[in-house]
Order: sequence, then structure tokens, then C-alpha cells
Amino acid sequence: MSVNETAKNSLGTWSIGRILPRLMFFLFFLDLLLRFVPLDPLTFRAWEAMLRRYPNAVGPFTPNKHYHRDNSYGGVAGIGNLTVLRRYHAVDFTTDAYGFHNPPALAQSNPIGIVIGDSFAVGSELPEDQSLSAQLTQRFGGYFYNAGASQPLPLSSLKAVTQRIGLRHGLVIFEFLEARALQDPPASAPDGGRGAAQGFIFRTLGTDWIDRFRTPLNQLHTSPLQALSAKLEKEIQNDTLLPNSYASFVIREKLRNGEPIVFLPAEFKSPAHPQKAAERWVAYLSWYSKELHKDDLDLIVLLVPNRPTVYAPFLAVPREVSASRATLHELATALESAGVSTVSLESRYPQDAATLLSQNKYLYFLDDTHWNGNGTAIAADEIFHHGK
Amino acid sequence: MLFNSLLFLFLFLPVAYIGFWRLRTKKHRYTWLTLASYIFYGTWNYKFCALMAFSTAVSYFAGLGMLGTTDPRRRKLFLIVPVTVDLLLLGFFKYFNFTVSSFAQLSAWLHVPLHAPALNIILPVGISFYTFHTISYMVDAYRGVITPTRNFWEFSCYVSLFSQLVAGPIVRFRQVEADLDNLDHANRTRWLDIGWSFFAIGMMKKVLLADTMAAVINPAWKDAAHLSTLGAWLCVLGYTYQIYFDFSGYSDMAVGLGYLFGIRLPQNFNSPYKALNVSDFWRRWHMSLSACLRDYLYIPLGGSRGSAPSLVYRNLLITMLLGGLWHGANWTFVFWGAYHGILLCLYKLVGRFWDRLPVFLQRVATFFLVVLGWVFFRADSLSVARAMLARMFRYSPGTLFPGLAGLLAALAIAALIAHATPNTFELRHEWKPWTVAGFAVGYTLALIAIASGQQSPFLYFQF
Repeated sequence: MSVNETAKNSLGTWSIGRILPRLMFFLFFLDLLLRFVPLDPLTFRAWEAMLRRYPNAVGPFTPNKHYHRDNSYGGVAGIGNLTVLRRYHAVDFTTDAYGFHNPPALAQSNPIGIVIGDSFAVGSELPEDQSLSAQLTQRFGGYFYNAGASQPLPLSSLKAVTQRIGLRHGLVIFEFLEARALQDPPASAPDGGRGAAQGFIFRTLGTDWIDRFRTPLNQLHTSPLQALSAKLEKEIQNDTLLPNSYASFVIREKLRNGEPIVFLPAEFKSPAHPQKAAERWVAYLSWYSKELHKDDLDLIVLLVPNRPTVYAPFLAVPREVSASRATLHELATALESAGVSTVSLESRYPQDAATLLSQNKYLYFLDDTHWNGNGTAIAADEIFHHGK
Repeated sequence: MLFNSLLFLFLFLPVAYIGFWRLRTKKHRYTWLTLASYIFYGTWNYKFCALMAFSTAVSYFAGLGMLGTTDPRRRKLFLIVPVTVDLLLLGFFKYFNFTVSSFAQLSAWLHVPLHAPALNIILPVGISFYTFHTISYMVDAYRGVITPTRNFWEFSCYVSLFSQLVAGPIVRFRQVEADLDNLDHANRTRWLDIGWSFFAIGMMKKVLLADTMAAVINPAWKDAAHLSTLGAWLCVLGYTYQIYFDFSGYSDMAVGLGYLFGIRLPQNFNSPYKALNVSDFWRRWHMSLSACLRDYLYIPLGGSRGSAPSLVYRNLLITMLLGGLWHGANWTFVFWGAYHGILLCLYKLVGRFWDRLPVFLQRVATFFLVVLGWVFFRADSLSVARAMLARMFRYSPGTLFPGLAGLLAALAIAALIAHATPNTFELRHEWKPWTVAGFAVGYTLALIAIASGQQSPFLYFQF
């Protein structure tokens, strides 16, 4: 053994025992510092750049901010690190003072309706005039406010928003993606799904206190150094230098017209007991509808199928999605029976998908989970006809 | 918690280190290290901390019992009872399902249907290692090699020390007793350079070399039956270096961490791929396990001195079979152990002729035999091992797998280091500034790889 263990009571400036711990401290503080720098340059789409990660009283995004990127692409292609499947497009994303996706150019006073839901309602990858709320505004001739977030707003938050935007009476469009049936509905309580401890804090301190800490907390959440490292790792994993391990996170398929389409495995999941899932959600949505009715607001639930539910039959090797269809059907029937106004895209979407496919057009992005402008246009038409 | 995780590097290690050196007395340092080690272990599954604490307490009191009596029968009782308890725990957690499923397979083969209960048992990480720690302590105490400690925290610190808790090296009490006894006089700066040098080398071995090779060969192994001949050989060679750099990297990091806390841990790898024969290989590979198997199994069985040749072969085979099984509850490990047992017997038989071969040839042939053994060690089942061997030895054309460029580069560097450079214990760890700068670059690259979230656990965690 040659390790020199002789006593050493002081270290030289260039000793490894000095340099490496200092290097680690340097990287630690650099990481901390960089967390206060905007994330925009590291992102390829608006969602990550705009999203605030901590609970708040109003919108989910940084208020009064504009994001633009010429070469945005779908999140699923990003997750799978599949550069050849990216479909580049320009994206703009503008938020209002409350932190919702509402470009000032399209905003009007005296809204006649509000759209709530998840990223589908937000319309994060769409041209801003093609989001569901924008399409509804065009059809109804009155302004629909976009209150889309990571998930549909709890009732208390929705009420706060309708008060702020001055929606006295009108329509509330609840965009309900099929995948939501896999989750439990939020607790039917004013705190809308917050845990007991969190609810207590919000009741005691109010909901505005978090605003003061929100920006620094949000900044601390994401590490640009880690994001950069992951980017570097993805560059190296190009199947030449190293195999692309990210590809296993997605499912690659081909449509019958030969176009590649990429899915997340989660998109194929359906509830094990569709009837029970439907019962839980119908109970929640009935309560939600009744509570809104007290404020002179009418709820319309928009049932949106997952991408595979629409496109599985049109794959080069078709896949079985009868469980997904059953879930949507169960939900639509149960909601109608409960007297909740419902628009289901369950049957319209597959028909239109088949027609558009022959023209090499689609209802959803092929490299992303979300619907495109064609998808929102059909949804808006259906709601318009239903609303009339 | 992994050594190659940001949580360990940026939170656990600095807190454990600063806290340790702020404390002055031996007792406080033992307690601190024990506490830190239980937190380290608990981040994986806190429920199993109780199991380790129980095993520690049983062995500690057994040691005290031996201290308090000279009666041979009572001393034997203080050995047998706790060793049995330890082995039963290990047997239950590690081998219960394997035993049951093996019986079920046997009964199915005999056309006697057997409905075996399969329990949902989680294998506690590191149980094989700390069980070896406690058993070696009690056996050494029984043999009078060590005097059992009266200080519970010292013993607890020895069993649970986070640096070697989950994947070794298997440290015997006598190897660290002096450093533990002098823990209050430890000098923080004395081994700081050596500690960081070991740690950084280990980290780079693991993250930059072993993980790179793993990224390429792991997907290929899943499709072993469809590999081309060249692909199969590259896959097996890749694993040969991956397991060495992964495990020796971990051991280097463990030794480095030991130095940082004033405790010298034993060498675990001595350039095993430079071995001249299989016997030499086992003196260089996982040295702490080999020494334990030798001292606590092979020699008590009769060893090789004064025994008839057939008994020596029997002893070798039993030792290697159990050594294989120690690595995991799978027939592939038993087969691997048997393979090495047979190689050792053959070497006993023809060693005189083997040793006359040119040194280069001895090295190449030994390396080749070891590489073949890794096929069984890596394969998930004997059928996968068979498929891989078939691909290696029966020509099959086909395309190679993605990531070949990275694998070839990593293989070239790995081979150079493994076969032609001194190992970590042969270095003096006194570096010139430009070498330190090189370390800093390599270490930063390793941190980038870790931060990307693609780090993988150490292979020996599963054992």
C-alpha cells in the first residue's frame, strides 16, 4: 500500500482537500443564485416558464408577462427526447393581472362566461386566438374569460375570480379531460381540496399572505443548473454517443396515413371501475353546479376524450380503447341524469378525426397531449349549439 | 440515500462532517455518527432502522456476555444464539421467497402440486453487510481476537457507519478498533486530502465510467437473445468493467468518507483484472468478503492445510457456493459461485502447470474466465445466461445497439485504468496543482451527470 498517511496539519492552497469542498460550496451557491434568474431561456414552451409553483389566491401563472418562442414543440416529444418527432411552431403566451392566460388584445369588459379546466383550457400550445375561450368569444359574441390552470379551479377560487372580473351571471365551462376520471374529485368544501392543515392556515391568515412569498418561493423551486444538466444529458443521449433512455418514457406509434404520433403511457389509462369514478365526479359536479346556480351562473361540463381514445382506431396497428369510451359514456350519461348540463365530444371527435385524417389534419398535436385549433374549434361549436 | 445524490453531497455530508468535527469527546462523536448513519439509512426505509438496531443490540449484549464469563459453554451460547438470530433474520428477508419458490418449482417438476405462500418481503438494503459485521464481531470476540467493547455507541457506530453500511467494504471490528478508540484525538486535516482524493476518484469511477457503460448495456441485456455475436461480447465486456468500476468506485468513496471522519477502512479491490489466476483474482476482488469467507467459513470447514485433496475441493466448493448465494437469492448467483468454486479446484489441480505459462497469458486467460463468470452474475435467470453465452459463442450477425461510440470510449478508458494503471490504494494521493485541477473538472462533470437526475444506484446495494 502506498497511501501516504503521514501527519499533515495544514493544507496547501492547491490541495485536493481544499479545492473540492470549495468547488462544492461554489456550485451550491451558484445553484442558489441562478434560481433567481428567469427560466425563460431554458424552456422550449410557455408552461414551465410561466407557471408559479406555489398556492395562491388567483391565477397559476406569473401575472402580466409575455412569453414568445419561435421554435416551441410538443411536451411528449420533449419527454421522450425525440428530436425527429418534434413539430416546431411559434408560440405566444400572455397573462393578465391575475395570472391567467388572457392576452390583453382579446380581453373585453363584462364577460359573459368563464372557462375553467386544466392545460387544455389554458391552451398553452395554441395560437392565442384559438384557445377555447377565444373561440367561444368569437361564437357567442361576448367575452369568455380563460381561467384555465393546472386543474379546474376549486369553487372558492372560481368565485373569487368571477368577482374580480365582474362576471355576475353567465356560463361556466368546466373542461373535463377523460384522464381526470382517474383522480378523486376535490373535497366538496369551500377550501376546495386543500388539506386540513393548509386549509387552517388559509382560513387563519387569509389567502393573500402567500403572495408576498410567492415569487421567491417559486424561483427557488426550479434549479437552472439541474435543468441545464438534464439538457446536456439529453444532447448526449442521441443514440450514437449514448442510447436515448428517455425514449422509454413515451409510446411511439404511426397513424394509418404514415404520420408518427407519440403518446404518454398515462394517456392510455382508464379507471378500473368507470361507474364508481363517474359516481364520485357526478356528485362533485352536481354540488358545484348547484353552488354556482346560487350566484346566477350556469355550469356546462365539457367532456374531452384523451388522445388515444380518439386516435387508437386510426393507428397503423389499431389499439383497443373500449374502456376509455365506456368511461366517457358513463360520465356523460350520469351527468345528464343528474341534471348537469353536459357537452360530450365522445362521438363527435372520432368522426371529425377520421374526416380530417384523410386531409392529413388532426384534432390534437401529434407530439403533445393537447388539442390543437381544430380541436378547440369543434369544442366551441358544440358548446355554442348546446348553449343556444 | 446514495453517495451519488445531491441530497447526500450538498446536505447530508456537509452537516454530518461539520457536526462531527464540532464535537470533541469520543462519546459524542460515536453518538453523532450513529445518529447520522441511521438518518442515512432511514431515508431509504426508516422502518428497517429498527431491524438494524435490534441486530446491533443483540450482538452488543452477546459481546458483553462473553466479557462477563470464562465458562466455555456459556461463551459458546453467547456466540450461537445471536449468530442464529442474525442468520435467521438474513435468511427470512433475503432467502425466504427464494427457498419457497425453489421448492414450488421442484414440486412442480416432480408433479406434486405445492401451494407455496409468497410473502411480499422487502429486502432491507445492506442487511448482508451489517449482518456480516455483527457476526464477525461475535466470532472474533469468541475466539479472543478482539475484546468486546463496553461502549454501546462505539459498537453501534461500527455496525451502522454510513460510509460502509449498505455496500461494504465488510469491516471487521479489529480493523477499525484503534481508530474508533482514538476518535477524540482524530485530526481533521490529517487525512483530508487522502479522503477527498479517494472520494473523488470513486465518484468519477462510478458516475463517469460505470454509469456510462450501464446506460448502453442495460437495454442491450434486456434483449440478450437477439444480440449479434459482437454485440454480446461488447455487452459482457461492458458489464465486466461496469461492475468493477461501480463497486470499486463505491468502495473508494466509502474509504474516502472514512478518512474524512478519521476512520481508516480496509482495501476492497487490488486491481483484480491484473490477477494471474483465479485464486489470485479472489485475493484481489471484494477482498473484505473473500477474507471473511476464508476466516469464517473455509478455514472452519477445514481449509486446505492437512486435509485430503477431496476435502479441500469440497471446502472450496461449499465456500464459493455460499459466497455466490450471499450475493443474492437467485440460482444465477449459485451458479456463479459454483463456477468459481470449480475454477479454484481446477487451479489447485493444475496450478503448477498454469504458473509456468507466460505472465501475459496467465493474465489474459484469467480475465477471460472471469468475464465468462460475469454472464451468470449479471443475467436475470439461467435461461438469459444461456442465451447470452449462445450469442457469444455461436456466430450471429446483426446490428449493434445504440450508444456504441460512448461504450467503446468508456471501454477503452476503463480497460486502460483496470489493466495498466495503479489502483487507488497504490497511489500516494499527493497531487500537483494541475492534477487537482483535472480532478476538479472530472468531479464537476460527475456532479453535472448527477444533477441531470440520471444517476443509478450502486450495483452492490442489491446484495
